[in-house]
Amino acid sequence: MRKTNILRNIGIVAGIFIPLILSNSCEHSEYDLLDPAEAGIWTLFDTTDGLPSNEVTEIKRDSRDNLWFTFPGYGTAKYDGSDWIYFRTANSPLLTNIVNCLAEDADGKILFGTSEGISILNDENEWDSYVDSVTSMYINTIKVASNGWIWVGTKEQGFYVNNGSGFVKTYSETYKNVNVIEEDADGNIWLGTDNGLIRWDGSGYSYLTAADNLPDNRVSALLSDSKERLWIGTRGGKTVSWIDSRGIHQLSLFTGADSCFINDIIEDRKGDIWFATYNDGLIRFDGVIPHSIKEVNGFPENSIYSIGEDKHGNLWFGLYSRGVARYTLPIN
Amino acid sequence: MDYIAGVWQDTHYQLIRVISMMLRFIFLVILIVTSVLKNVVSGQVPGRDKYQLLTMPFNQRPLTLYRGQLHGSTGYKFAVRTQYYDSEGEVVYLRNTGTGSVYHYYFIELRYGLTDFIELAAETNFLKRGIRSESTTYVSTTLPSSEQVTVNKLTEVKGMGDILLSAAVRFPLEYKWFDLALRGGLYLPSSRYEPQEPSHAVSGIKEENSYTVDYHYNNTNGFGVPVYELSGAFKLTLNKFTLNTGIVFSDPTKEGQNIRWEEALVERDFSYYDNSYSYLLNRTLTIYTSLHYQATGWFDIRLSGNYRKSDGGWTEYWGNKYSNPETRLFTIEPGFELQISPTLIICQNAGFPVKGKNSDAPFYLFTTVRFNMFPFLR
Amino acid sequence: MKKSYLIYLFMLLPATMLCQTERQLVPADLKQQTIVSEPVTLRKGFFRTGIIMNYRVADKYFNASGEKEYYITSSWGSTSAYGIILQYGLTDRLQLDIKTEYRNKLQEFQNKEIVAGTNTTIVTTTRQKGLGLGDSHFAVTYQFLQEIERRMSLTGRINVTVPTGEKNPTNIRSVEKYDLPVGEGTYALGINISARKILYPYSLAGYIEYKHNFEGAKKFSAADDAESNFRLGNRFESGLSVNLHLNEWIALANEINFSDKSKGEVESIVTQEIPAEWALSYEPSLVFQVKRFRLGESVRIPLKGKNVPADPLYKIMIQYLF
Repeated sequence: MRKTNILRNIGIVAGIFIPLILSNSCEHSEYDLLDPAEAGIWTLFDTTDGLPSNEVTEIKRDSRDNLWFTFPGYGTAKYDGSDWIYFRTANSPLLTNIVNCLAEDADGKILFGTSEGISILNDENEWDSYVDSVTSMYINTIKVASNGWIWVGTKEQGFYVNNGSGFVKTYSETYKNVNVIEEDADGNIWLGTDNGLIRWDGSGYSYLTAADNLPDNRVSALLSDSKERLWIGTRGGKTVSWIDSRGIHQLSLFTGADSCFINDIIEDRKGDIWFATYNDGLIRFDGVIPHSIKEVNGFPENSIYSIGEDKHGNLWFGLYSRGVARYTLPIN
Repeated sequence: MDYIAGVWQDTHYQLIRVISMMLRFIFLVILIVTSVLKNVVSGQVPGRDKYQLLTMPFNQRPLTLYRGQLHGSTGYKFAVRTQYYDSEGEVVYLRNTGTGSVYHYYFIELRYGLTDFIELAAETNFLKRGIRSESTTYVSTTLPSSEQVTVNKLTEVKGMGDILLSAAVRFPLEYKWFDLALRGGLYLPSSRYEPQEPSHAVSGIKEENSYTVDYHYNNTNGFGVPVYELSGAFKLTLNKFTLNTGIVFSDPTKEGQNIRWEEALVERDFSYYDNSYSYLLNRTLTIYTSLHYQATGWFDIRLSGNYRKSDGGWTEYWGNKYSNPETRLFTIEPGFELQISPTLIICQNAGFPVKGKNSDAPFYLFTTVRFNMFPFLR
Repeated sequence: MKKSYLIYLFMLLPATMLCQTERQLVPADLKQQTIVSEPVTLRKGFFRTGIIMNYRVADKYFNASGEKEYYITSSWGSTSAYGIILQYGLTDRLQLDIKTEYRNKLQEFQNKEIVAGTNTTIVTTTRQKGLGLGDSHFAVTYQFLQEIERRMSLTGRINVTVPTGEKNPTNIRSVEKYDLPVGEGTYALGINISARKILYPYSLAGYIEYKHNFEGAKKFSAADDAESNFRLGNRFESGLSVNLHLNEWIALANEINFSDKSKGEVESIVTQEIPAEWALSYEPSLVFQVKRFRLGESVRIPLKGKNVPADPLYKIMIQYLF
């Protein structure tokens, strides 16, 4: 009886706690942890840090997690997280130093949209180019679609499409200025022009203007976000719009101004939508409230050309005359 | 030691790691020894008069229950959170910003004395609290504006806590003036940890861009992952005075997964989207000391001090892992234990925060009713 | 002679024996009678004084639809009171009560306004505090039926409330910053009937009460220039408690309480400013006695209601019988 009780007691308690004793509970994986004090921090880079110019018109990340910057009149630069590499006509076959935009194609080549055509750089550092031999080719925007087609928007020359067989130009007097091109979640291509929006659905074009509730006909920024909304920013509207399955909606950015010039729109990892404006600072929309960030809050400049995102989720803002501001997302 | 050194780099936590491993080893040894010696030494426990054991005053009571003794406790803690210690240890008065809050904590515990030296226990809790954030009104211009959105935010935490299963072993001798006990346990998740969808609302609509948004987040209680806990306690009695001190260490068994909700407002209707993230809970170390005075056989007055520190965890935000801030809190707890009858004991403690860092500093009142019995002893 | 002595002894002996088993209760013993053994009203010449402290925060409330809601704006409120009660037994059945209290009310609210156009932030904080003597209450209690073996006790009480507390906002610095009133500003008359029966170790008690509020005048907000005539709604309250007397000097009480108050009037017009309210509450309490000291702790927990706070009201009571 005594022996049975002893064995029973040991059995009961050991049965509960042997897994505990043998557990790997302390064996947590090691990570490089970030300091919470580094979240929500602004850092400014300008010519004093080696940038060729304080005017930055485009920021994009390639598939190798490099950040690319364009400096109109001063070429372009690549930042890999530690080093900057600068490309100008003086040290590369870049067509011109007036680089307005860039994109990466399906083969990993970087396409630079310049005032004279497209310069192309592959991952073996070999250059190529495309120019229109008939007319000038001042490129405003380049978009590589999910099917590999390359769409190029120009100033006063309409747009070009390369479906793998070469660039084909489409021109109309009404839509000669194409400022921005975006692809939505359904694969439709949207072109923002000075006279409204054009939509290519794979078979034909349709058009949207201010009469269809666009804030303004001068469409300057487009974004297709993770919630399948197409955001539309313009150069003169008081609001921004977005299109979803329910139709077109308006959002007041609470700037207090009668119009708002939107240069760029991006979605961060939190799901917030950021609007870069001319003269009204940055606006961060959290889904309900637009939050304004301006010089009075300590932001370097109220005019922002573009917004990009690096591999860590930090946002980079290309400014009109103050360089580049980097922002680490806050954790609250 | 190489094994330990290979896992841990921080010498501070190497030491804690060593202590925890030693505690676990000692716990297992004592467990086996006391089980074997139970029948040898049980004769040293005072004659098993049920009434005497039920009414044993605190200063003569060992750290674990007697064989066959059952304690069923139920408690309620009411806490008022009107201040907070920031990262510099300075007090921030939440009351002044209207963000004070209250929490209600219900607690239930069962303890059973398997032998005079081994005790099994299970406990769980239910928590309910609502944390308000500062109301903010966004307007577009300083002029009388038709564009005005007021945002109120409430984060509610409600639900069952985890279940703690534990066993304790004590020094295998009759308690006269000194006792030592070790306890090991595991918190097991009792319910779904992911928060439910929020229940936001729009109210006070005056114009198209003039309304009030009431955010209401619904969070749950618990850890979300199993957490183990080890503790050691020491008790020393001198006449009517007793010193009771101990250390408790807890560590999560693994990383956890949770979700965050984000919302979008379209024409007064909210849509919700969830994003998953991973986390690792902080390790927690608690040191407590209490001084007791047995005023009468049925009334014990006590003054306790609790120091709690936690760190070492991290939380993922937007693909990046940020270390959790270190938190500390020191609380003073006066209280009493009143034995109303052989089967009923009431305990009450009040908690006053004294010092801390990155921690809420609530004042609380904790009342416990304990049913004390020998259900199988006639 | 011997015979008479014997008879006398014979009579004395049982008397002596009885004296040994029935000790006569002296006033000191009567004053240590507990809530189990003492009568419902104080004995003649007995004087009891007590202090009651209560505390409640404003975290949740029952709205007009009876649903429990949080106060969702960033606001914090609390109210506490420290009351003194004096009770005197005029006769074994008639008791006088006087109660007054010192009140401490706090309301804080903060709102931040962000103007997007200029990106400026304006923080508005309102803090209102009310400190001071509240209203006073006088009561006469008469025990119609004394509790005996098979009969419960029945007691009637008349309460009079005198508005001794400050009824208007004072120390007005601005519309947001002023001191809160601590009194209701109106006389009231109440009637209470209660009954008690002890069936040791249990006891049952119940009461009903009706309170009529008379017309008064006060300022409802700091912005008011003049006082407005008003009348609070009349109040009906009833309660039933089942108590467990664990021994002679400790009791655990459990009361269910229902109260209902009708809508009030301002300038003779029924108004939402003084809405109708009702509440169903549960109040557990612990009372224990050490000699002539009695200590009690209770919490009134609102279970259901309308237009009433949903937070518990904590009370601590200390009494001493002289």
